[in-house]
Amino acid sequence: MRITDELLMAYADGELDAAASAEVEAAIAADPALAQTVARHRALRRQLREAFAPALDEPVPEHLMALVRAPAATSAAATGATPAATSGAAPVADVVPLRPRRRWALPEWAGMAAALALGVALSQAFLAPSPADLRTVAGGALRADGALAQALDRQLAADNTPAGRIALGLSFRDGSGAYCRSFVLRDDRPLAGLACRADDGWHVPITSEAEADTGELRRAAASLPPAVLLAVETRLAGDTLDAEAERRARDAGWR
Amino acid sequence: MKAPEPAMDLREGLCAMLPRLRRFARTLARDPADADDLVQVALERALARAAQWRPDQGLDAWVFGIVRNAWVDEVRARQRGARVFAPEEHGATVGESSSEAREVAMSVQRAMDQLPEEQREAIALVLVEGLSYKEAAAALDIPIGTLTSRLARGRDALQALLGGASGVGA
Repeated sequence: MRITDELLMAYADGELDAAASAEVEAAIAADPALAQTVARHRALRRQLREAFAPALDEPVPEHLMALVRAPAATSAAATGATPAATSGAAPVADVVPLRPRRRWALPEWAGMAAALALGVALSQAFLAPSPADLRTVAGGALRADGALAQALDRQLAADNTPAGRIALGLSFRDGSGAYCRSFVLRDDRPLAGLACRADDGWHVPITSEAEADTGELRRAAASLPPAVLLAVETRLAGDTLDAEAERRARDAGWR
Repeated sequence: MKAPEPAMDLREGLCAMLPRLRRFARTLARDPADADDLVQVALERALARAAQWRPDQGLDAWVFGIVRNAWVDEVRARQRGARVFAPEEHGATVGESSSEAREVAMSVQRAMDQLPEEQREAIALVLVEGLSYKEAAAALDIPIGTLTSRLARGRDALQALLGGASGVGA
Protein backbone atom coordinates (compact mmCIF):
# COMPACT_ATOMS: atom_id res chain seq x y z
CA MET A 1 0.00 0.00 0.00
CA ARG A 2 1.40 3.36 -0.99
CA ILE A 3 1.54 5.63 2.01
CA THR A 4 0.17 8.85 0.61
CA ASP A 5 -0.46 11.97 2.66
CA GLU A 6 -4.19 11.42 2.28
CA LEU A 7 -3.83 7.95 3.71
CA LEU A 8 -1.92 9.31 6.69
CA MET A 9 -4.58 11.95 7.10
CA ALA A 10 -7.31 9.32 7.06
CA TYR A 11 -5.36 7.32 9.62
CA ALA A 12 -4.93 10.36 11.84
CA ASP A 13 -8.69 10.98 11.58
CA GLY A 14 -9.58 7.42 12.53
CA GLU A 15 -11.14 6.67 9.18
CA LEU A 16 -9.23 3.51 8.32
CA ASP A 17 -10.39 -0.01 9.09
CA ALA A 18 -8.28 -2.34 11.20
CA ALA A 19 -6.40 -3.90 8.30
CA ALA A 20 -5.47 -0.59 6.67
CA SER A 21 -4.53 0.92 10.04
CA ALA A 22 -2.19 -1.98 10.70
CA GLU A 23 -0.44 -1.39 7.37
CA VAL A 24 0.02 2.29 8.10
CA GLU A 25 1.35 1.53 11.57
CA ALA A 26 3.85 -0.87 10.09
CA ALA A 27 4.97 1.81 7.63
CA ILE A 28 5.27 4.34 10.46
CA ALA A 29 7.41 1.96 12.48
CA ALA A 30 9.81 1.78 9.54
CA ASP A 31 9.84 5.53 8.82
CA PRO A 32 9.68 8.05 11.70
CA ALA A 33 8.97 10.95 9.34
CA LEU A 34 5.53 9.44 8.78
CA ALA A 35 4.89 9.53 12.51
CA GLN A 36 5.63 13.26 12.45
CA THR A 37 3.10 13.82 9.69
CA VAL A 38 0.42 12.00 11.66
CA ALA A 39 1.30 13.99 14.77
CA ARG A 40 0.99 17.24 12.80
CA HIS A 41 -2.45 16.28 11.54
CA ARG A 42 -3.63 15.48 15.05
CA ALA A 43 -2.15 18.65 16.47
CA LEU A 44 -3.92 20.75 13.88
CA ARG A 45 -7.24 19.12 14.73
CA ARG A 46 -6.68 19.88 18.41
CA GLN A 47 -5.76 23.44 17.64
CA LEU A 48 -8.84 23.98 15.49
CA ARG A 49 -11.16 22.55 18.10
CA GLU A 50 -9.63 24.74 20.79
CA ALA A 51 -9.90 27.83 18.64
CA PHE A 52 -13.61 27.30 18.02
CA ALA A 53 -14.49 25.90 21.43
CA PRO A 54 -15.72 29.24 22.81
CA ALA A 55 -18.66 29.22 20.40
CA LEU A 56 -19.60 25.83 21.79
CA ASP A 57 -19.48 26.96 25.39
CA GLU A 58 -21.61 30.07 24.98
CA PRO A 59 -25.20 29.89 26.19
CA VAL A 60 -27.51 29.49 23.21
CA PRO A 61 -29.55 32.65 22.52
CA GLU A 62 -33.17 32.37 23.54
CA HIS A 63 -34.63 33.05 20.08
CA LEU A 64 -32.84 30.00 18.68
CA MET A 65 -33.98 27.82 21.58
CA ALA A 66 -37.51 29.04 21.02
CA LEU A 67 -37.47 27.90 17.40
CA VAL A 68 -36.82 24.29 18.25
CA ARG A 69 -38.89 24.30 21.39
CA ALA A 70 -42.16 25.98 20.35
CA PRO A 71 -44.75 24.25 18.13
CA ALA A 72 -44.60 25.43 14.52
CA ALA A 73 -48.10 26.87 14.71
CA THR A 74 -47.21 29.88 16.86
CA SER A 75 -46.92 32.86 14.57
CA ALA A 76 -43.43 33.88 15.73
CA ALA A 77 -41.91 30.54 14.76
CA ALA A 78 -44.03 30.16 11.66
CA THR A 79 -43.06 33.49 10.20
CA GLY A 80 -39.54 33.56 11.57
CA ALA A 81 -39.62 36.79 13.53
CA THR A 82 -36.38 38.70 13.13
CA PRO A 83 -33.84 38.32 15.92
CA ALA A 84 -34.22 41.99 16.73
CA ALA A 85 -37.86 41.46 17.50
CA THR A 86 -37.62 38.38 19.66
CA SER A 87 -34.30 38.45 21.42
CA GLY A 88 -32.61 40.71 23.89
CA ALA A 89 -29.12 39.82 22.61
CA ALA A 90 -27.40 43.16 22.20
CA PRO A 91 -25.53 43.20 18.86
CA VAL A 92 -28.27 41.48 16.90
CA ALA A 93 -30.45 44.54 16.46
CA ASP A 94 -27.67 46.25 14.51
CA VAL A 95 -27.40 43.47 11.97
CA VAL A 96 -29.42 43.29 8.77
CA PRO A 97 -31.33 39.99 8.96
CA LEU A 98 -30.40 37.42 6.37
CA ARG A 99 -33.99 37.20 5.19
CA PRO A 100 -36.14 40.26 4.59
CA ARG A 101 -39.59 40.41 6.18
CA ARG A 102 -42.13 42.32 4.15
CA ARG A 103 -45.69 43.03 5.10
CA TRP A 104 -48.24 43.46 2.32
CA ALA A 105 -50.36 46.54 2.76
CA LEU A 106 -54.06 45.63 2.81
CA PRO A 107 -56.82 48.15 2.27
CA GLU A 108 -59.07 49.50 5.03
CA TRP A 109 -62.24 47.55 5.68
CA ALA A 110 -64.31 49.95 7.76
CA GLY A 111 -67.96 50.04 6.63
CA MET A 112 -67.62 47.36 3.97
CA ALA A 113 -68.54 44.32 6.01
CA ALA A 114 -72.31 44.35 5.43
CA ALA A 115 -72.03 44.99 1.71
CA LEU A 116 -69.42 42.30 1.41
CA ALA A 117 -71.54 39.72 3.20
CA LEU A 118 -74.32 40.24 0.69
CA GLY A 119 -71.91 40.21 -2.21
CA VAL A 120 -70.36 36.98 -1.00
CA ALA A 121 -73.75 35.29 -0.61
CA LEU A 122 -74.69 36.27 -4.15
CA SER A 123 -71.36 35.11 -5.54
CA GLN A 124 -71.71 31.73 -3.94
CA ALA A 125 -75.26 31.35 -5.22
CA PHE A 126 -74.63 32.26 -8.83
CA LEU A 127 -71.20 30.96 -9.60
CA ALA A 128 -71.23 27.27 -10.27
CA PRO A 129 -67.69 26.00 -9.79
CA SER A 130 -66.16 24.57 -12.93
CA PRO A 131 -66.07 20.80 -12.46
CA ALA A 132 -62.40 20.79 -13.47
CA ASP A 133 -61.25 23.13 -10.69
CA LEU A 134 -63.55 22.83 -7.74
CA ARG A 135 -65.84 20.21 -6.29
CA THR A 136 -68.51 20.42 -3.66
CA VAL A 137 -68.38 18.05 -0.72
CA ALA A 138 -71.08 17.05 1.74
CA GLY A 139 -72.31 20.13 3.56
CA GLY A 140 -71.72 22.41 0.59
CA ALA A 141 -68.06 23.20 1.18
CA LEU A 142 -65.70 23.53 -1.75
CA ARG A 143 -62.49 21.67 -2.40
CA ALA A 144 -59.90 22.49 -5.04
CA ASP A 145 -59.65 19.86 -7.71
CA GLY A 146 -57.92 19.18 -11.02
CA ALA A 147 -55.85 21.99 -12.48
CA LEU A 148 -56.52 24.31 -9.56
CA ALA A 149 -55.39 21.76 -7.00
CA GLN A 150 -52.23 21.17 -8.99
CA ALA A 151 -51.54 24.88 -9.28
CA LEU A 152 -52.05 25.36 -5.55
CA ASP A 153 -49.60 22.53 -4.88
CA ARG A 154 -46.89 23.51 -7.34
CA GLN A 155 -47.23 26.99 -8.81
CA LEU A 156 -45.45 29.91 -7.22
CA ALA A 157 -46.59 33.52 -7.59
CA ALA A 158 -43.34 34.02 -9.51
CA ASP A 159 -44.54 31.46 -12.06
CA ASN A 160 -47.64 33.45 -12.98
CA THR A 161 -47.83 34.49 -16.64
CA PRO A 162 -50.20 37.00 -18.25
CA ALA A 163 -51.66 34.24 -20.46
CA GLY A 164 -51.87 31.61 -17.72
CA ARG A 165 -55.34 30.51 -16.71
CA ILE A 166 -54.56 30.20 -13.02
CA ALA A 167 -52.73 32.91 -11.12
CA LEU A 168 -51.52 32.52 -7.55
CA GLY A 169 -51.48 35.46 -5.19
CA LEU A 170 -50.64 35.76 -1.53
CA SER A 171 -49.46 32.83 0.53
CA PHE A 172 -49.52 32.84 4.32
CA ARG A 173 -50.20 30.77 7.41
CA ASP A 174 -53.47 31.04 9.25
CA GLY A 175 -53.88 30.94 13.02
CA SER A 176 -53.84 27.13 13.09
CA GLY A 177 -50.57 27.01 11.18
CA ALA A 178 -52.11 25.79 7.92
CA TYR A 179 -50.99 27.39 4.67
CA CYS A 180 -53.51 29.46 2.72
CA ARG A 181 -53.13 30.87 -0.79
CA SER A 182 -55.22 33.28 -2.80
CA PHE A 183 -55.81 32.52 -6.47
CA VAL A 184 -57.62 33.75 -9.56
CA LEU A 185 -59.10 31.52 -12.24
CA ARG A 186 -58.92 33.60 -15.38
CA ASP A 187 -61.88 32.22 -17.24
CA ASP A 188 -64.51 34.23 -19.13
CA ARG A 189 -65.99 35.12 -15.76
CA PRO A 190 -62.86 35.34 -13.65
CA LEU A 191 -63.15 33.77 -10.22
CA ALA A 192 -60.93 34.66 -7.29
CA GLY A 193 -60.72 32.65 -4.12
CA LEU A 194 -58.80 31.58 -1.07
CA ALA A 195 -57.64 28.01 -0.52
CA CYS A 196 -56.27 26.58 2.74
CA ARG A 197 -54.34 23.33 2.94
CA ALA A 198 -55.71 20.54 5.05
CA ASP A 199 -54.81 16.86 5.30
CA ASP A 200 -57.41 15.96 2.70
CA GLY A 201 -56.46 18.67 0.18
CA TRP A 202 -57.15 22.35 -0.40
CA HIS A 203 -60.32 23.68 1.22
CA VAL A 204 -61.78 26.72 -0.54
CA PRO A 205 -63.73 28.75 2.02
CA ILE A 206 -64.39 31.66 -0.30
CA THR A 207 -64.76 32.43 -3.98
CA SER A 208 -65.80 35.70 -5.53
CA GLU A 209 -66.10 37.20 -8.95
CA ALA A 210 -62.95 39.04 -9.85
CA GLU A 211 -62.49 41.90 -12.23
CA ALA A 212 -60.92 41.04 -15.57
CA ASP A 213 -57.25 40.78 -14.76
CA THR A 214 -55.05 43.67 -15.77
CA GLY A 215 -51.74 42.04 -15.05
CA GLU A 216 -49.82 39.62 -12.90
CA LEU A 217 -51.23 38.86 -9.53
CA ARG A 218 -47.90 38.69 -7.81
CA ARG A 219 -47.85 42.02 -6.00
CA ALA A 220 -51.46 42.88 -6.65
CA ALA A 221 -53.15 42.29 -3.33
CA ALA A 222 -55.31 45.27 -4.28
CA SER A 223 -56.68 43.56 -7.39
CA LEU A 224 -58.24 40.69 -5.44
CA PRO A 225 -61.95 41.21 -4.86
CA PRO A 226 -62.78 42.63 -1.43
CA ALA A 227 -64.44 39.40 -0.26
CA VAL A 228 -61.25 37.44 -0.77
CA LEU A 229 -59.09 40.13 0.78
CA LEU A 230 -61.31 40.17 3.84
CA ALA A 231 -61.00 36.40 4.11
CA VAL A 232 -57.22 36.78 3.93
CA GLU A 233 -57.21 39.51 6.57
CA THR A 234 -59.29 37.53 9.05
CA ARG A 235 -57.09 34.45 8.72
CA LEU A 236 -53.63 35.97 8.42
CA ALA A 237 -51.35 35.10 11.34
CA GLY A 238 -48.03 36.88 10.96
CA ASP A 239 -46.68 38.07 7.61
CA THR A 240 -47.53 36.84 4.14
CA LEU A 241 -44.71 34.75 2.70
CA ASP A 242 -42.06 36.41 0.59
CA ALA A 243 -40.89 34.72 -2.60
CA GLU A 244 -38.27 32.57 -0.90
CA ALA A 245 -40.54 31.47 1.93
CA GLU A 246 -43.24 30.63 -0.60
CA ARG A 247 -40.81 28.44 -2.52
CA ARG A 248 -39.71 26.66 0.64
CA ALA A 249 -43.30 26.06 1.67
CA ARG A 250 -44.07 24.67 -1.77
CA ASP A 251 -41.01 22.40 -1.62
CA ALA A 252 -42.15 21.14 1.77
CA GLY A 253 -45.58 20.27 0.36
CA TRP A 254 -47.34 23.11 2.24
CA ARG A 255 -46.94 21.21 5.50
CA MET B 1 -57.02 21.82 9.73
CA LYS B 2 -53.83 21.95 11.76
CA ALA B 3 -50.63 21.39 9.82
CA PRO B 4 -48.66 18.37 11.11
CA GLU B 5 -45.78 19.32 13.41
CA PRO B 6 -42.17 18.27 13.00
CA ALA B 7 -41.61 15.14 15.04
CA MET B 8 -40.46 15.68 18.60
CA ASP B 9 -37.36 13.59 18.05
CA LEU B 10 -36.29 15.97 15.29
CA ARG B 11 -36.83 18.96 17.57
CA GLU B 12 -34.92 17.28 20.37
CA GLY B 13 -32.11 16.39 17.99
CA LEU B 14 -31.92 19.97 16.72
CA CYS B 15 -32.00 21.32 20.27
CA ALA B 16 -29.09 19.10 21.25
CA MET B 17 -27.15 20.22 18.18
CA LEU B 18 -27.60 23.95 18.76
CA PRO B 19 -24.16 24.71 20.22
CA ARG B 20 -22.45 22.78 17.43
CA LEU B 21 -24.59 24.45 14.78
CA ARG B 22 -23.58 27.83 16.17
CA ARG B 23 -19.94 26.81 16.16
CA PHE B 24 -20.15 25.56 12.56
CA ALA B 25 -22.00 28.70 11.49
CA ARG B 26 -19.19 30.76 13.02
CA THR B 27 -16.58 28.97 10.94
CA LEU B 28 -18.60 29.80 7.83
CA ALA B 29 -19.90 33.25 8.57
CA ARG B 30 -17.22 34.56 10.93
CA ASP B 31 -19.34 37.41 12.26
CA PRO B 32 -21.17 36.01 15.32
CA ALA B 33 -24.42 37.82 14.58
CA ASP B 34 -24.39 36.60 10.97
CA ALA B 35 -23.69 33.14 12.31
CA ASP B 36 -26.77 33.21 14.54
CA ASP B 37 -28.91 34.47 11.68
CA LEU B 38 -27.57 31.60 9.61
CA VAL B 39 -28.50 29.11 12.31
CA GLN B 40 -31.98 30.59 12.50
CA VAL B 41 -32.52 30.23 8.74
CA ALA B 42 -31.21 26.67 8.85
CA LEU B 43 -33.45 25.68 11.77
CA GLU B 44 -36.50 27.09 10.01
CA ARG B 45 -35.65 25.17 6.87
CA ALA B 46 -34.99 21.98 8.79
CA LEU B 47 -38.32 22.26 10.59
CA ALA B 48 -40.13 23.05 7.33
CA ARG B 49 -38.57 19.97 5.72
CA ALA B 50 -39.15 17.71 8.69
CA ALA B 51 -41.05 15.28 6.48
CA GLN B 52 -37.93 14.73 4.37
CA TRP B 53 -35.85 13.50 7.29
CA ARG B 54 -36.08 9.91 8.41
CA PRO B 55 -34.79 9.02 11.87
CA ASP B 56 -32.57 6.31 10.37
CA GLN B 57 -30.66 8.95 8.40
CA GLY B 58 -27.84 10.69 10.19
CA LEU B 59 -29.17 13.93 11.62
CA ASP B 60 -25.75 15.58 11.65
CA ALA B 61 -25.10 15.30 7.92
CA TRP B 62 -28.63 16.45 7.11
CA VAL B 63 -28.65 19.50 9.35
CA PHE B 64 -25.07 20.60 8.71
CA GLY B 65 -25.85 20.32 5.00
CA ILE B 66 -28.82 22.63 5.46
CA VAL B 67 -26.66 25.18 7.32
CA ARG B 68 -24.02 25.07 4.64
CA ASN B 69 -26.52 25.45 1.79
CA ALA B 70 -28.18 28.37 3.55
CA TRP B 71 -24.77 30.00 3.76
CA VAL B 72 -24.16 29.40 0.05
CA ASP B 73 -27.53 31.09 -0.69
CA GLU B 74 -26.53 34.05 1.48
CA VAL B 75 -23.12 34.37 -0.16
CA ARG B 76 -24.77 34.44 -3.58
CA ALA B 77 -27.26 37.05 -2.44
CA ARG B 78 -24.38 39.19 -1.20
CA GLN B 79 -22.52 38.82 -4.46
CA ARG B 80 -25.60 40.22 -6.16
CA GLY B 81 -25.24 43.23 -3.90
CA ALA B 82 -28.24 42.29 -1.82
CA ARG B 83 -26.52 42.80 1.55
CA VAL B 84 -23.84 44.87 3.13
CA PHE B 85 -22.37 43.79 6.44
CA ALA B 86 -19.71 45.33 8.60
CA PRO B 87 -17.70 42.28 9.65
CA GLU B 88 -16.91 42.21 13.33
CA GLU B 89 -13.35 41.96 14.48
CA HIS B 90 -12.58 38.27 14.67
CA GLY B 91 -11.89 36.89 18.10
CA ALA B 92 -14.36 39.28 19.73
CA THR B 93 -16.17 36.37 21.31
CA VAL B 94 -13.18 34.33 22.49
CA GLY B 95 -13.95 35.30 26.06
CA GLU B 96 -12.13 34.46 29.22
CA SER B 97 -9.16 32.46 27.95
CA SER B 98 -5.61 33.61 28.68
CA SER B 99 -4.21 36.24 26.37
CA GLU B 100 -1.78 33.83 24.76
CA ALA B 101 -4.55 31.34 24.12
CA ARG B 102 -6.62 34.22 22.73
CA GLU B 103 -3.81 35.15 20.33
CA VAL B 104 -3.46 31.62 19.12
CA ALA B 105 -7.21 31.32 18.70
CA MET B 106 -7.35 34.53 16.70
CA SER B 107 -4.58 33.40 14.43
CA VAL B 108 -6.27 30.05 13.80
CA GLN B 109 -9.56 31.76 13.00
CA ARG B 110 -7.78 34.22 10.72
CA ALA B 111 -6.03 31.35 8.97
CA MET B 112 -9.38 29.66 8.43
CA ASP B 113 -10.71 32.91 7.00
CA GLN B 114 -7.99 32.80 4.36
CA LEU B 115 -9.06 29.42 3.05
CA PRO B 116 -11.26 29.07 0.01
CA GLU B 117 -14.87 28.39 1.07
CA GLU B 118 -14.85 24.76 -0.04
CA GLN B 119 -11.72 23.92 1.94
CA ARG B 120 -12.95 25.78 5.01
CA GLU B 121 -16.26 23.86 5.00
CA ALA B 122 -14.50 20.52 4.71
CA ILE B 123 -12.11 21.36 7.56
CA ALA B 124 -14.93 22.70 9.72
CA LEU B 125 -17.13 19.64 9.30
CA VAL B 126 -14.40 17.02 9.78
CA LEU B 127 -11.86 18.57 12.12
CA VAL B 128 -14.03 20.91 14.16
CA GLU B 129 -17.43 19.24 14.17
CA GLY B 130 -16.02 15.72 14.09
CA LEU B 131 -18.12 14.33 11.26
CA SER B 132 -16.80 11.24 9.54
CA TYR B 133 -15.63 11.58 5.95
CA LYS B 134 -18.80 9.85 4.83
CA GLU B 135 -21.07 12.18 6.85
CA ALA B 136 -19.20 15.29 5.74
CA ALA B 137 -19.36 14.22 2.10
CA ALA B 138 -23.11 13.63 2.48
CA ALA B 139 -23.60 17.03 4.10
CA LEU B 140 -21.78 18.75 1.24
CA ASP B 141 -23.31 16.48 -1.38
CA ILE B 142 -19.93 15.59 -2.89
CA PRO B 143 -18.08 12.30 -3.43
CA ILE B 144 -15.81 11.19 -0.59
CA GLY B 145 -12.77 11.55 -2.86
CA THR B 146 -13.59 15.22 -3.41
CA LEU B 147 -14.01 15.71 0.32
CA THR B 148 -10.66 14.15 1.17
CA SER B 149 -8.84 16.18 -1.44
CA ARG B 150 -10.38 19.44 -0.14
CA LEU B 151 -9.51 18.37 3.37
CA ALA B 152 -5.92 17.66 2.39
CA ARG B 153 -5.52 20.98 0.57
CA GLY B 154 -7.12 22.85 3.44
CA ARG B 155 -4.84 21.21 5.98
CA ASP B 156 -1.76 21.97 3.89
CA ALA B 157 -2.86 25.59 3.60
CA LEU B 158 -3.50 25.90 7.34
CA GLN B 159 -0.16 24.29 8.20
CA ALA B 160 1.56 26.78 5.92
CA LEU B 161 -0.34 29.76 7.40
CA LEU B 162 0.17 28.72 10.99
CA GLY B 163 3.74 27.51 10.42
CA GLY B 164 5.61 26.59 13.57
CA ALA B 165 4.05 29.51 15.50
CA SER B 166 2.18 27.37 17.96
CA GLY B 167 4.04 24.10 17.93
CA VAL B 168 2.03 22.60 15.10
CA GLY B 169 5.10 21.88 13.02
CA ALA B 170 7.15 20.53 15.93
